[in-house]
Amino acid sequence: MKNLKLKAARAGMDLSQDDLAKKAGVSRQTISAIEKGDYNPTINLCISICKILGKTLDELFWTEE
Amino acid sequence: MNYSNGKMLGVGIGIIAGLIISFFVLKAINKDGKAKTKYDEMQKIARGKAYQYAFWAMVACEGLLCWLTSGSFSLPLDGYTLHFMVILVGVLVQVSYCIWNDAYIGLNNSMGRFAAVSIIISLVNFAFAGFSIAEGTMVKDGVLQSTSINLLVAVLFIVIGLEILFKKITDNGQKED
Repeated sequence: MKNLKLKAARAGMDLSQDDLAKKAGVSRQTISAIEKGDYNPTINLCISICKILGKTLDELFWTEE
Repeated sequence: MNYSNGKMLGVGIGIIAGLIISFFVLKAINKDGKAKTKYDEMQKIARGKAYQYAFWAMVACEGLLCWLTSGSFSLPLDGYTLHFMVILVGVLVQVSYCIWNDAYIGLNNSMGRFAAVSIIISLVNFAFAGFSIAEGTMVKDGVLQSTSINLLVAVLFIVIGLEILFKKITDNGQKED
């Protein structure tokens, strides 16, 4: 499932996938895979992304089924 | 020292020299000057799977060779070249899986330096292969000799280079979608 919340939060801060990847210490492809829903990140990476984007885990990674 | 032991010593020295050169090559292609390439968590998972597939590919190749050589069938390759080819198959499987799963280029790799080193390695191997062909030492009595390894390594680097290029082209089409 695509993570549109992450994509929106990133775009809201005017960050490219590459910018976010550099800040989080991962590759651009990893950020792309998370946004596409192709990769489930570890809790450590989720927290790192949340801190960079100023969001909580719920706001970026919780999905209502 | 007889010829066989001399060759064994030469190969041993060659492997040690290769390891030392690899250490400096890795230091040169990494932006931070460290020999260890850094990968993120997704890349580490992909690389783990790549090693798994490479291992089974090598097992399959060795199994096939065991079966083929158990009878009277003989391949037109000397033993050293045969086993080196199996290693190259493993390397190709590992590298290809990593390339297509975004796990080949590490976080601290310099793409430009990486390409330059790969081209140099390929050219050096092509040059040695050319000398072997010119001297007529690549094929002896219809059997491919160990000097053909240079040609195989050069071709392997070209295949890897082309794979990286194709991946980059397909990635550029999908960027920020």
